Amino acid sequence: MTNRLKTALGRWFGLALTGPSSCDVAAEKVSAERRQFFKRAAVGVASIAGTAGVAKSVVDSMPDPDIGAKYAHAAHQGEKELLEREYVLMSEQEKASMLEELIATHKSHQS
Amino acid sequence: MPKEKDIPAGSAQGTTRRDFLRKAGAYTVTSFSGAAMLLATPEEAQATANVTWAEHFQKNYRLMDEEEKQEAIDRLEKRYSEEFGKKVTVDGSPAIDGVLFGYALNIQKCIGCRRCVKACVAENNQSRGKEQEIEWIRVLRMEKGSFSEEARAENGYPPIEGHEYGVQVGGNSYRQAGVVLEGQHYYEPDAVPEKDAFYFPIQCMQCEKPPCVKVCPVRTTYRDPDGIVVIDYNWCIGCRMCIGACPYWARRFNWGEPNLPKEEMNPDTHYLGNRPRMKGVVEKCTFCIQRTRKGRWTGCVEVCPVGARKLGNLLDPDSDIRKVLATKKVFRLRADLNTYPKFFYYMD
Repeated sequence: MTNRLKTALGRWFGLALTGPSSCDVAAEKVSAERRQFFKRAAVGVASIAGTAGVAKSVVDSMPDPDIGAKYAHAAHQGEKELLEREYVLMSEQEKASMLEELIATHKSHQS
Repeated sequence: MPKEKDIPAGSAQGTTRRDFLRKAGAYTVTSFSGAAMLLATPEEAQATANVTWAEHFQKNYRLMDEEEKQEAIDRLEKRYSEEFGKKVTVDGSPAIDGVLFGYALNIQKCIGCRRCVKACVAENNQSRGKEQEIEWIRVLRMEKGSFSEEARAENGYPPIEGHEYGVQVGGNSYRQAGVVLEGQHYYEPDAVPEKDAFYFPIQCMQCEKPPCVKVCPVRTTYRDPDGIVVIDYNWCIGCRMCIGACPYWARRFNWGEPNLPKEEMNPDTHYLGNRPRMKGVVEKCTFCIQRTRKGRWTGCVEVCPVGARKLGNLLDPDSDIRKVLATKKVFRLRADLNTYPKFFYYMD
């Protein structure tokens, strides 16, 4: 059964896995057409991939006129929010419970 | 003229597998050669050629076994050494057992000179130059404020007897201690500290419950066992979700190919730390992982001229950081972000 499956699949993809079969000429014609289709599809995919790769390389190499602004914006990002934040003094109990929580979380990560 | 479908396959006039492979190969080689010729300088071409398929298809660093990690490190060392024209080492040291890093900064002592910022840039191979500057440490200049007893009570915090607080500039000195290093773009006084300001450096808080780690779709950023939140740059897809998630705005993105001059490159690197990054990846403070995992201080701690920065092991009761927590006035954000940062601000 495995051999029959292999033969059927091979015939479908247009590969001659076995010797000339007793199937009629129409089946051979279909195999040939399928083979042509897959060949064209493979060439098409390779062409598109190659063209996409070239296009990406060209686009990546082009200088970005806004790059300075992007870095500057990133450097200042969140500044207003950070400047408006309020800090309060922690009591001894708050410090102790914070330390306890940090160490407990660390130990849970370890396990 | 016989049509293609009338020509029996495999015949002398039909396309054979050999013809197909020959044409496809020729096209591919031509495309890539053309692109390479258009784009690459000789040095870049050589360095790029060294980026093997293995690097493109390597696993997330966390999932690699020791052998795979060593292979990845060897590839990177070779590539960086060729790219920068010097012997570059890439360390892969794991976290030290029994260590949980904590950091404390004395905001009373900080004079806003930004030496820490510049030392960090030099130590960690950050992109530099006017157009592509990245600085992991951000120093905010704030108007002098107060942490009064009344304000605590008004906001529901229990009173602490015998304490009244104010923020003073420059510690116990009102004399200006120096100048702000050039290149900064947050404040530009002639000298620091200014009488009516205090300075608030912010960098990655190395949170114990990091929101950036939760949102990363590819799990390239994660908390290492010693508490440092790291990034596997080869695995980062540049989605910037982590930048949005960080409540401290501590992460930076490489919008372009980093500008790192060869002569300024620090060749002692760590895979998860200061090795040269690439376009499209996120980076941030890693507590100078290439130093701290060898028992050294971070660059910012070493360079601070007033000793405002402390680094230590939170698991060691005798460490500097534990002494700060035990004896100093430590601050937290009024709004609870529940991130449990391991970076504390304190006063004497």
